[in-house]
Amino acid sequence: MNRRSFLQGLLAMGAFSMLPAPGRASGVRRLVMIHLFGGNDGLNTVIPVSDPAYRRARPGLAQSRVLPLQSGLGLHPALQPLLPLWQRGKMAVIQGVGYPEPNRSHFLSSDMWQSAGLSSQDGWLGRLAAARGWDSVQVDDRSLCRALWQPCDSVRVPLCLRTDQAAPPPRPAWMEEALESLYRECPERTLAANFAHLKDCRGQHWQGPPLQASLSAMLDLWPQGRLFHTSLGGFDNHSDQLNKHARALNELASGLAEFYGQLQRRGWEKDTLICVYSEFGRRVEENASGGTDHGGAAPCFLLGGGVKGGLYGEHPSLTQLVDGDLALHYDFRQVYASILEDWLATDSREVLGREFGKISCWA
Amino acid sequence: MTAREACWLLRCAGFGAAPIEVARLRRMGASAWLDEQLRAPLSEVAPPSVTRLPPGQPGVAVQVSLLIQWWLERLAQGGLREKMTLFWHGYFTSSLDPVFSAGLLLCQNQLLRENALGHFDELLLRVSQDPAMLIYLDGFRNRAEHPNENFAREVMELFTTGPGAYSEEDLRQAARAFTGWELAWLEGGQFRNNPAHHDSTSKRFLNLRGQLDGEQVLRRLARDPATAHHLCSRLWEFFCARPGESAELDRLARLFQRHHGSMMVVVKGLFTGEAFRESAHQRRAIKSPLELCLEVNRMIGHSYGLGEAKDLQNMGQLPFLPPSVAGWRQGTGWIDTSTLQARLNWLHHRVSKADRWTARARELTADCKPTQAVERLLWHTHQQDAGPALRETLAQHYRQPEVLQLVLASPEVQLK
Repeated sequence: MNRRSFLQGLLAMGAFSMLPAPGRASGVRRLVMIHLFGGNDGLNTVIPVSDPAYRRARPGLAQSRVLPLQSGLGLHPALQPLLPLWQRGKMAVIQGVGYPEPNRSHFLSSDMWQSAGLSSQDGWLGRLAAARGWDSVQVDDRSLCRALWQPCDSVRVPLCLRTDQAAPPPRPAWMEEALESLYRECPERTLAANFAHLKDCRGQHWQGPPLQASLSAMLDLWPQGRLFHTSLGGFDNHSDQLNKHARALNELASGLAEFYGQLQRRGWEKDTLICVYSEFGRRVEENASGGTDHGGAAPCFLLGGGVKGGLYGEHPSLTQLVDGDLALHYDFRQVYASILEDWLATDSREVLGREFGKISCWA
Repeated sequence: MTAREACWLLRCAGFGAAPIEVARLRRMGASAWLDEQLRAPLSEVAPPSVTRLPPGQPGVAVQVSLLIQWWLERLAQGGLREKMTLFWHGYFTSSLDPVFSAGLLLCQNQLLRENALGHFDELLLRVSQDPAMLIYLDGFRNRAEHPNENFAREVMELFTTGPGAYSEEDLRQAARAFTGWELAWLEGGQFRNNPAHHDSTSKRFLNLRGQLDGEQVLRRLARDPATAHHLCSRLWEFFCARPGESAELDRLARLFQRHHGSMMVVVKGLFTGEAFRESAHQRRAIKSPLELCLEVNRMIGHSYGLGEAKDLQNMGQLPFLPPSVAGWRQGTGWIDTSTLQARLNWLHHRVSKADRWTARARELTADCKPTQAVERLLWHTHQQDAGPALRETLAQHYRQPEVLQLVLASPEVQLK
């Protein structure tokens, strides 16, 4: 880094710290992002059960016994564990979320969501963490996700763990001490900071199905971050979707319900916001192998003590399609802007590059 | 040329700094050594038997692991051309998802190797019409009646000028110029320019007017001054794992333009420049996982095994599976908590056959003074340019049986 960019970075941080302090926040507010990796079938998640076009498009996959949300619209039955949260008004369902001219590659579309469409090599949570001096944590079985990538030369680094975090090799005490001192003095701060992280997290194995394990790891790591990210696979079902999708949704719902219960028991509910997203939805028509292919817009979920539960936006029409796919009602950056401005009291333009209309979904 | 400067050049231009190579480079001098590297003939290594079509066939995973193994063996033989092939693989990147064909990825890899040190405009044109690239960025779906802007966007944002040098309207016009490019599936998936789907009406792109086609757009982009700058900046980051200083990037960009995009000239200019030599002394450049693995495997005489794909993935660099269309993040982008852990575990297991390595350590450090023992240990592990911190630590602990594990776990080994 040269002097100039260092100074610019410093000035940018100064500008942030002059923002008005969050007025409503009593405790430290945290954000937990959950990426349903593979492209969740939104149409079979929030289901327009009485729309005849739904049954026509999904002869083999249509659900009939849904959990009613409002007339004609229901949740997939596998989401049963989330029903109490919906009934208590703690869950907002944002319908038809996506972006214009959607890309149908998992990679490129995940990239779009996680960079928020800016071409810099960092992510939206990474930019936020760097600007505000917040710590971030990822737990899942993937390498550090784009959302948490920080701008070059950030001082802090995210803690990035696997649920089955391999134990470091057994080392004699003299070597452990020698390495600690070598890494502490290493001029490359990324190595030094991550080596220091390693000391706190040796050989942990969080039990349970993947999402539940990731979320219970987060509870253990709660003091170590404000921004959390994890992902759950099992949604890319080009064939035999019926059972596979139900299984994945059930894992999501039971993991979330268990996590939410823990948040309540610890008194952390009111300071926690959970956001569930996927890089795209799926095609309206099921394919010939009892699955669905990559598609367009899909719902996002927001959960937490600060959320005003309910349905937001319209369910995308099944007959007025864009390129054969469900149209978007909200740009995903509107969801981000709402979280940034109203939940984290941050100037969203600094993170998203420009202004996006917010969604008023707060209690 | 100091030993440190020689190690820096060897690790940046190739994989690892074996003492014998350090001595040879110092005898020859950087310029003659680079000429030798740049002029080395393209070595013929029989490619693995993988098939091009149809994408997504069963067994593609097995074929891809053969392909990875083949390339790692080539990389292990070293050479600047191979290093440049790796650069282009991250620059003009294409991924197994959504290409799903080992054969098409192999073709692209060969194309990058053959043109690795040639002229940029030629490589840009050929890679733009490469089947794996056409699939990766939807170039083959781009038709006059409904242009797909994916390729046009990435070719400008990532492959040539970088953002800021064009408007959204230029981008739309470029996408129209590329219409009609497609894959002839019945002819083995070759590139084909189909006039029936090409938009031949008039376009305005940057300062060009007329019935522009894709080739004209690419040649215009390759000549753009912003392209020279963008490419040199990516090249510097790839080799040196840090952002370049603007004065040096300006110098390289001018070299690029004066020599009509000759990569051979630019690469030699980078490695013989004052800025490169000075950056040897910062010791902050983090090796990529491949640089780390290939260097250490060479050091201990271990060849690449199929099982290592998993390790490379855990460390964050499995060839043909880049994290995004922008390729891999160099430098600090390689390191997060779990990738650092994966590196340290992998290194540990390289030398975990305790008997052999403790015997080696005992042999190296027997009957000598501490300073001599430290030199021998560093020589043996190809770290003869290690800084004072590691040397002092070793002088203290050289009699410990696990001392070689300490060297491999030290931060020096993570740095070029």
